[in-house]
Amino acid sequence: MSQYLIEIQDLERFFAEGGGRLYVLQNLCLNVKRGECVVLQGISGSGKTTLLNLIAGIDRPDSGRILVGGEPVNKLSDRFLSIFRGRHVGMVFQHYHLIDHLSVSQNVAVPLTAADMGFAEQRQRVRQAMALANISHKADSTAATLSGGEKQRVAIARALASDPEIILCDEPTANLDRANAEALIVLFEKLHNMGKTVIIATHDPRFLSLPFASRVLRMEQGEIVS
Amino acid sequence: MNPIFLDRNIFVYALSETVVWIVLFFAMPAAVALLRYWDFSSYTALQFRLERRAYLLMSVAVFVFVLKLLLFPYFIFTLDKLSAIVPGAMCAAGVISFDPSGMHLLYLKIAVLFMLVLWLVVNQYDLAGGNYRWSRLKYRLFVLLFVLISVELWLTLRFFNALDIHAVLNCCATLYGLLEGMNPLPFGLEKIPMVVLFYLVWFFALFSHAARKPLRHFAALMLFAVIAYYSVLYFFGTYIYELPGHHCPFCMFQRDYWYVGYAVWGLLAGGLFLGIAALVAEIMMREKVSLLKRISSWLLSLFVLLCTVYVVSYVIRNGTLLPEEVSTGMVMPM
Amino acid sequence: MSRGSADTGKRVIPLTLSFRRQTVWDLSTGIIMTHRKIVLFAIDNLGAELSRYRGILLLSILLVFIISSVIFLTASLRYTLLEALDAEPDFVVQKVVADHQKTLPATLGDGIVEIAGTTKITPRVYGRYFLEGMQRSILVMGVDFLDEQSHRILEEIIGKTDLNHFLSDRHAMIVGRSVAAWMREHRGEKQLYFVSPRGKRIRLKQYAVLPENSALFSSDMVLTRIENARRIFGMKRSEVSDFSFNAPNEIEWELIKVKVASLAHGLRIVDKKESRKVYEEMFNFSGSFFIGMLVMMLIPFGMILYQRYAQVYTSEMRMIGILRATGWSIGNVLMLKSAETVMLILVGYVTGVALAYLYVFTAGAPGLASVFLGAWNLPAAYQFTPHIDFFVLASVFLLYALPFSASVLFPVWKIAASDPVKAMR
Repeated sequence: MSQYLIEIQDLERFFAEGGGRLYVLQNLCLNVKRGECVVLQGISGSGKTTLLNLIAGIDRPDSGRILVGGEPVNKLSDRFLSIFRGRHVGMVFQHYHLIDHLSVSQNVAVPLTAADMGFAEQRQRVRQAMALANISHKADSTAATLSGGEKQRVAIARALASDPEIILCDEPTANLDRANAEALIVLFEKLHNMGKTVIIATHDPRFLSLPFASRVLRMEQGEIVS
Repeated sequence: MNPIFLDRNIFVYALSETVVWIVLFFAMPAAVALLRYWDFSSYTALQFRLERRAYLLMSVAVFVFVLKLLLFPYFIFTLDKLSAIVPGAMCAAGVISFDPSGMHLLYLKIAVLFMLVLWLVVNQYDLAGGNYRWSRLKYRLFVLLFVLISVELWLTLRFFNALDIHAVLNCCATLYGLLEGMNPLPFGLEKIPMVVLFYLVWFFALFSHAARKPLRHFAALMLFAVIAYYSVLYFFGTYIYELPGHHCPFCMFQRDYWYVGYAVWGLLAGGLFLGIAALVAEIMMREKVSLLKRISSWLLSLFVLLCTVYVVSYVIRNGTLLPEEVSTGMVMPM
Repeated sequence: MSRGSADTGKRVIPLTLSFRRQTVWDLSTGIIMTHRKIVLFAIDNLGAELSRYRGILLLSILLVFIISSVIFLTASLRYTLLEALDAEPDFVVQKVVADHQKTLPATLGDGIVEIAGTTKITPRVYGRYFLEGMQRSILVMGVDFLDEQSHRILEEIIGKTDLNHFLSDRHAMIVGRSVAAWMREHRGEKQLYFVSPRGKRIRLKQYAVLPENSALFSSDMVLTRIENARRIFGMKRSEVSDFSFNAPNEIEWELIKVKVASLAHGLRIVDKKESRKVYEEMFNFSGSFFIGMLVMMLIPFGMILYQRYAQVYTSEMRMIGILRATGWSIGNVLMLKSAETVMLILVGYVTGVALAYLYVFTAGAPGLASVFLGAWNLPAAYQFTPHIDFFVLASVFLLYALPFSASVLFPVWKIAASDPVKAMR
C-alpha cells in the first residue's frame, strides 16, 4: 500500500486557444501523505484552482494520472466520481458558490442530499458541520443575506458535512477581514488535528508560515517550482 | 384516412404514440454515435462527451418506459370503448380480433414493454458496475427498441385505419368459447390437470429460483407464462365472472369486476417481465441479478394468491365449484 | 480508502465504490431514500424560484383549462345523449320518399307484431310545428293514453308529473323550457294556439314544464295527447309518423330488419346502434375539430417550453454546477430537474382541470356551449351533467403532459450534463 493518499504524476491540462494550446498545468507531479497540510502558493493564473478541481474530480486532465487512496480518480465514471466527491472530498471554493435562495442549513445539506443516508443522519451531520464552522446561529437564514465571512463559514460547513478525508480550499481568506481570516486559520488547524488531509491554494502570505503546514509549494505557470 | 381517427380517445392515443416515437427518433443520432465511438478505456474529450450523452439515452428510455406503461391500459380501454359502436364486439377482445394484425400488435406492445424493462435492468447494472461493461449491449438494445417501436407505431396506425365500424365482429364468447370439437387449452390438457400444472409450475419456478438454477428458473417462467394465461382465461377468470362460459381476458378490467383485471394481469405481467428480464440480463451480462428475481417471485406469488382467493371464495359461498361449461356448438369463422 | 491498484492504462472498477451486495431492503430503501431527498430538495428549490416559472405555469393552466373544458363539455353531452338513447326503443321504422318523412299506415304495426323476436311495438305521432311568434319550429309529440311503452319513456323524461292526470285533460300540454320561457315573455299566458293544415285552431294549455335535466333534447318539445298531435298535423286515425319496437336478442337484429323492410316499400329502419354512431360521430367531429385546433396550440406551447428550458438562467446554471461539484451525479441532477418538471405538470394539470370543472359544470360553459349547441334550442342557463371518468382525465393528461415533458427532455439533459467548472464561472 502506498504511503501517499494523493499521487499526481505528469498531470497536464490545457485549453484550445487560437489554434494552439494554452497549458494551465504541465508535467505536474505531487504526492500528499494522509493527514498532511499542504499550501499551494502562487499568483492568479498559476493553475492552483485547476489543480484543486482535478484532484476533486470536478475537471478531468488531458493526460497524466491522479490516484487518491490508490484509485485512479480521473478514470472513474461520472456516477463513481460523484460518489467519490460527495464522500471523500470537501471543497471550499474561492467565491463560496452558495445557492443564494436556499437557507444555510439547506446549503450545508447539499452534498448529503444525493448521498445514501437517512434524514436523521443527514440532519445530525448538518448540525455538527455548522457547529464546527460556528454558523449554527444562522441555520435558517437565506444565504443571500449573509456577510462574506458568514458565507465562507457556510461553505466550510458544507465541505465538512460528509466528514471527508480530504479538504481542498481555494483562496479561503480572499474576501475576509483579518479577524475572520485568523478564525479560519484556527479552524484549519483543528481539521488538521482531526487527521484530515488539507490542501490550501492561496496567495495570502499568512499561510506561508503556518505551524501545522508540512509544506508550502510554489506554483508558477502550471508547474510546481518549489 | 379513416374517420375513426376523429374519435377523441383514438386521436389522443395516436398522437401520444407519435410524440413518443419522435422523441426516440431525435435520440437516435446519439445512440448511433455512442455505438460507433464508445471506448471507455480511453479518456479523451470525445469519450467524456459520449459519457454525458449516454445520460440522454437513459432519460429518453425512462420517459418512453413510463409513457408506454401509461399508454398500454389506455390502448385497452380505447378498444373497449370502441366496442360500443362496432357491431358484434362486446369488449376489447372483439375489436382487437377485427384484423389478424390486431393480436400481433398487442403482442408487439407487450414485447416493447418487456424490452424496455430489460433495457432498464441492463442500464442499472451497467451504471452500478462502474466501467460501463454493458454499454455496447445497451446501445444495441436501444436501436432495436427504436426499430420495434417504429413497427409498433406503423401497425397501430394501420390497425385503426383499417377498422371498419360497419363490419360485424366476433364477441369474446365466440373467440374464447369452448367450441364443439375443439379444445383451446394447451398441450391437449383438460381444465383440472391444467390448474394442477399451474400450481406445480409456479412452485417449480419458486424452487428453482431458491436453488439458484437460472436455466430451470427461466424454463419454468416461460412455461408458467403459457399455463397462467390459459388458466386465467379458462378457469380463474370464470370464477371472477362467476360464469362458466365467460372467458374474456378484457372484461375483468371493467368497473363491474372492481377493475381486478389490472391486478391479475399486472401482477402476472410484472412478475414474468422482471423474472425473464433478469434472467436474460444474467445471460447477457453474466452477472447475478438476484434482486429482480426476488421481486418477480413475490409478484407471481401474489398473482397465484389472488386467483386462488376467487376460487376459494366462490366455493365457500356456494359450497361447490362452478358447473362445467356447455359447448356453444358454434363453428369459428375462418 | 481501498488497497492500491496497479495502473494498467485501463479504467477499472473502484473496489471501495463497488456495487456491493445488499439486501433487498437496503438497496430499495437506499435508492428510495436518495430519490425522496432529491424530490424534497426540488420542492424547496421550486418554491424559492417560483417566480421564474410563473409564465410556464400560467400557460400550462390555460392550455389544460381549454382542453379540459372542451373534453368535459363533449363528454357530458355525449353521456347525456347516450343515456337518453338507452331509454329509446331498439328500432324505429319510418317511410321516406324523396328524402322526406311520410306517414305510415297504422296497420303496418300488425305486420311488425307478427315478426318473431319483436316486442313493444308502438305507433308514434309527432312532427315539427313552426311557431310564427317564436320563429322556430318546435317538436310536438303525441302520447297515447293506452300505450305503456310511451308512458315508461315519458316518465323518464317528465319525472314527477302525474301522467294519467295530464292525459285525461284533452287540452293539456307539457312544454320544454325554451317554449315555456317564450310563452312567459311574449304571451304572458300559459296556452298556445296551433293551426292545423285545414286551418282549424287548436288550443292547448300548459300543464307542466319539462325538467331541466332533460333540457338538452326536450327544450323545444311539446307533449300532448296523441289525438291533439294528429289534429295539429292533419293526420288521420289510420296514420302514424313512425313505429318503434324492441328486439331483445341483438343477434337477430339484421334478420329482423330484413323482414320489416319487406313489409312495405320505401321503409327506413334505424336501429339504436346506428343512432349511437351518429351521436358519437357528431361529437367526435366537433370535439376533434377543437382538439385539432388545440394540437396547433400544442406546437407553439412545446416550442416556448423548449426555448425557456434551453435558455438557462445564469443562476440556475451556477446552481447545477455547485450541485455537481459537491457530489451530485448527472443522474441525480436529472432526477432533480425531472421532479421539478413533474411538479409543474401536476400543478398545471390539477389547477386547469379544477377551473375547467367550475367553468363547465358550475357556470355552464358560457361561450363554449354555444359553439357546440348553437343550433339547439337551449335555455340560457343550461346545466351540464358532470360525467368525468378516468378515461376523460387520462385524455386531458396525455394531451398536456406528454408534449410538455417531451419538449423539456433534451434541454433538461443538457443542463444536467453541463461541465461544472464552466457552469460555476
